[in-house]
Amino acid sequence: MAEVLEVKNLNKFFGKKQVLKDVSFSVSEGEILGFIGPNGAGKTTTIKNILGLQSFNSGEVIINGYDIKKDFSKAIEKVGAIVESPDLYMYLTGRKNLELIANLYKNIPDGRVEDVIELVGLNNRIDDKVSKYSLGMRQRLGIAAALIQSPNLLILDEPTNGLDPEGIKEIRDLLKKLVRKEKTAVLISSHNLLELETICTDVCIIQKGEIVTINSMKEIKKTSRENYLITLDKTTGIKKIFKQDVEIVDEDVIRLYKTKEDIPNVINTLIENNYNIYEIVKDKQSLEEAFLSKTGGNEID
Amino acid sequence: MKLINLIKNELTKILHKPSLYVLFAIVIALNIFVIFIDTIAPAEVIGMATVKPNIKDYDMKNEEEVSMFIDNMTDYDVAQAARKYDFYSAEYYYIDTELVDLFRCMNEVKYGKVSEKEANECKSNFDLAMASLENYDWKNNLTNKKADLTKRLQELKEDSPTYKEDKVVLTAEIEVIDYRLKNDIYPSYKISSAELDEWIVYSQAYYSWDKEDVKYNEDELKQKEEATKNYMILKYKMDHEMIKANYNETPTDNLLRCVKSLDFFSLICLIMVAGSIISEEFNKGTIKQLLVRPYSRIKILTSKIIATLIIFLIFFFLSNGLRLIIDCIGYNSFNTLNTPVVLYNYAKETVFGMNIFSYSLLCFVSILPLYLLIMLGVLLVSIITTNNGISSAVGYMLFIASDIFILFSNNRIVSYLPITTADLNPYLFGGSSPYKYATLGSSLLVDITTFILLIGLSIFLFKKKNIKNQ
Repeated sequence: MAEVLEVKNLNKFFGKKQVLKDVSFSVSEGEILGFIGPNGAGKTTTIKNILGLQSFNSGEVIINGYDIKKDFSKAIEKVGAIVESPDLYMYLTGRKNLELIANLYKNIPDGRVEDVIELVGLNNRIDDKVSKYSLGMRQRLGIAAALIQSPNLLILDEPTNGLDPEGIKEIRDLLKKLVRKEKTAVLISSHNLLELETICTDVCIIQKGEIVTINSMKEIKKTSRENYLITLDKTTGIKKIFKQDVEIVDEDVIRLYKTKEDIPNVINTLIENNYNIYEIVKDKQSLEEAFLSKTGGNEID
Repeated sequence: MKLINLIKNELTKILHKPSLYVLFAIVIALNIFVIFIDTIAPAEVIGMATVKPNIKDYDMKNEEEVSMFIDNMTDYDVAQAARKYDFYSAEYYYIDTELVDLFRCMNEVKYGKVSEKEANECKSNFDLAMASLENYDWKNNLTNKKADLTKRLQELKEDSPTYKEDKVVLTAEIEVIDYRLKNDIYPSYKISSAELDEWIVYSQAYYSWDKEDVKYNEDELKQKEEATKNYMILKYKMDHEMIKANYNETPTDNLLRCVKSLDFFSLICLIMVAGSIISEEFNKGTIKQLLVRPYSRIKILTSKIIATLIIFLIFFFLSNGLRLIIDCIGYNSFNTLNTPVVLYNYAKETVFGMNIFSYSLLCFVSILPLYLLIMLGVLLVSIITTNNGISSAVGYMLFIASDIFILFSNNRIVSYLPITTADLNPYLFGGSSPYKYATLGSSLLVDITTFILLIGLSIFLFKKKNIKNQ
């Protein structure tokens, strides 16, 4: 698949403080890359650098083959973006906002504005002033604004921020529909991986301005399979029995990656091998925890 | 990608905000209000004594107090008599200027020490004047005056040291009377009448500079030039009979006031738009919507500058056009628009008439650099601070500066400041700047350099501007 966005060794300083260290990743056609990190990790800064809203000290950003620094207009032409919040003109109607944006591109087909309104489901309120919209409606209008020129790269910075669970679900459904329909490459940032679990194909984790890991969602999900915490009298020799399915958590606690159906067999095996069982607790390590174990928590630096 | 689309968008955004319409409505409402006061409500005379002095308040044994009482009483009597007539009437002017002595004389008879002979003479003169006022014939009055002046002119002795000056003044006075009689302009407080009376002062001033063997210094030459200009313009107006019967404030005067110096309301519009067009987008975050579009930042800034200018021009022409129409209706004087503006060509020392609209446009174009300077200043501050309040304040400070620096017109540095050189009006038709050291060349050089600097700096800073994280 063709790479739509390539970020290579991005470095940025705010004064003496380095806020981005060799940030590199890419997004290909049809890929939804979740850009995950705690608050202050450098997600928004990276996105602003990609979009030319801030300048970076070294590195390269290539969009659709064009360098953002050298060929800004061509690079940005097929990018739709929401940064931080969908800041639209509050004193204009939703429709007027979209029309203004449509004016800025050539070859926008007739009816495109109507199409995006339909897509984000704002038909009933599109002629109201944006100041009367709820936050969720503004987010949807922001996405509509980002979609007008039929971009092949969509960059959404925390699009679920400030939304209630229902609003978050709406955005998720909208993105799914969109990728299916328009085959857009998407870079979506969030500090909450769980929200993106069901829609991302890949995940890039950033912490303190550095990329910690880039992995496919399948890989990440593997690390979060079902497991049980078992308290025993001892743990010696346990690895020989369960091999890679076991992890020693404490001197008397093990984590066993098995399903519910395996548990009777596990108990039998443990008894046969003279282990005393004190407690068995189901512990589903979530995607969130897998992520947090990599980023070391929600600390801001 | 076309710049025109960006400009269209900027215009749409500005025109969807109510503030401009509010300002426009205020301008028009204020104009109508002024006309209402001017025409419907009678002119109230400032400084007219309306309180009758009480004799008990004065020590009538003290001569000084007696004369003070007589002065105050005379003022009161004149006011009482004059107020029976319209402020702009011939009678009012006649009482207020020519009958004051008679009123004083009457009060002296009543309260002072006057011989019986003087008292009788005074009374008979007063009664005559009052009787003539009943059916006031200003033409007859002026004819008598002219006869008197002609007699004095003939009696002037050539060997008198003031012969030349006296002759100039008397001739001018006679010329004014002739003009009044011919064009039916009675002496009054109306502007047309006052303008005619200036002929006497201007003639006197003009001939006072007419000394051949005297070398004048720079300041005196300027005064001489001013005197020549005033004299020749009024001469042209009188020769062409352009001072028409009894007009007061004309729409033309109002229009010229607005085009020759900064028009305050249009300036508010300019500062309002220039102050917010960039800062508001940064403050509300909407600038991001604009910067992630396929346009260079230079194009985005250019579109904003052009849009600001377009809105300013529309506001200027629309508000002044509408004000002119309202004035013409209000003062019922559409015909004054046919009268050309009389102008003086300093280089050729000639006078000529020019169509009011052509001249207004010329004046506006000449002062446009000052508007542009203020606009670019506001935009630059707005790019640096992204604060609408600060940038607008800078705009108004520049406006004030453009006005008060004239107090330091002899200062070399002040003569070369962009804010003092940007108004090119004084240079029209070979005129010179009120600032001592400024010339057209130096002003143009300063202006062009300033514009290049301001635009260059704005582009540089706008291109470098990072969108800070919230």
